[in-house]
Amino acid sequence: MAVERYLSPVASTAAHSEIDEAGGKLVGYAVLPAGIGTFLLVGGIAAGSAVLLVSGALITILAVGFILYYVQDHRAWHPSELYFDKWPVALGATVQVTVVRASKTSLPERDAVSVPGELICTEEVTYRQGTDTRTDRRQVYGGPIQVTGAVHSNAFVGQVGLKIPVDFGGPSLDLRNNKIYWELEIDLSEFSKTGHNADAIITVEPVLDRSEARYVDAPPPPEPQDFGPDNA
Amino acid sequence: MLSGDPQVSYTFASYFAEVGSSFFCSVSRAPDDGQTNEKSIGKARAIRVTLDMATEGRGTRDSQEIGTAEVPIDRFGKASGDLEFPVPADAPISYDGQLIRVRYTMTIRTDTQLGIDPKFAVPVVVVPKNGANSYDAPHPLRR
Repeated sequence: MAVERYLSPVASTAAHSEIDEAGGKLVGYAVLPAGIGTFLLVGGIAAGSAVLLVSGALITILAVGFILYYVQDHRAWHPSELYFDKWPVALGATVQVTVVRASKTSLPERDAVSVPGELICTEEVTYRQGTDTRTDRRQVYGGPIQVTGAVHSNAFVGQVGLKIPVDFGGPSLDLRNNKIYWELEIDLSEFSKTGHNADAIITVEPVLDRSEARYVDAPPPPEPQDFGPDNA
Repeated sequence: MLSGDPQVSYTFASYFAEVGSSFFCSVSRAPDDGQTNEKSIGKARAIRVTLDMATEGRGTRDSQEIGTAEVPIDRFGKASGDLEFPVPADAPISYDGQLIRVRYTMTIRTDTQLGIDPKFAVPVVVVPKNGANSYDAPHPLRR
């Protein structure tokens, strides 16, 4: 399947988040255990303890093995790419997203592959509490999606139609202390066990898609608020 | 009872405006009846109207003045004018969320030479482009 749509700016965001995620997993699952194993191994040699020696060696071998597997698996894939047929996206619009996950080696052909994902809208605020600056986030929309596609040659290419809801969340907002953002998260762990997801921030513009336009009666004029001299 | 200038009246073409369009407001001031103006609010010089955006909710308030305009008051205390307030295409829309609310307010203030300026504020709503007839309250749309 040829991908001829333009590459939206979010693809680079996805690549960066992948690297961060991969680095975090590598440290958590392998580098720390390798350090502990080495410590036990050296301690076992110094103390002449066979138990420490064997357990240290075992942990170290497992951790180093995991690191090698992880690095090899991670290097076998190109970063995920996401293509949007509209950018930015209007409220209520349906945007067709193409997900490309390419391997550096050939893959077995598979048809009708489906991978899960989620479209999320989050409100994020910062505020001062005493001398601290705090951040609160609340997910105001979360909708599951299914990306369907196929594996041909060396890549998985899938598509999904995303509809930005008009009754939850709002357009992207980026003020100093108040933000609204939309995220697309696609779980691609089916192809790589070392955690390659395609994540993207979607820019939603303050435009209502014409398919969602409707007619409502205008409400009565608002009451003016009192701003007396005391409140001036 | 409102503490705004009782001689000032206003009308809006609509209390709703799309981003990239404008609010249109007509303001006028009835002439002084001799003593009322001087005694109650000092000598009035102009009617100043301001459109502001501000957030409400849990986060620290973000605010921005979108536009301001004024109508001079003559020596008889009378004024009349039509004002336009363009809303930028990339301005935040009015929003009613869980942690965040975005509000727009039109403040009508009588600039006086002496004393504190009397003013009152009128809430207005900025809606998405193409949404002029689709909203009766801030976004999100209610089903």
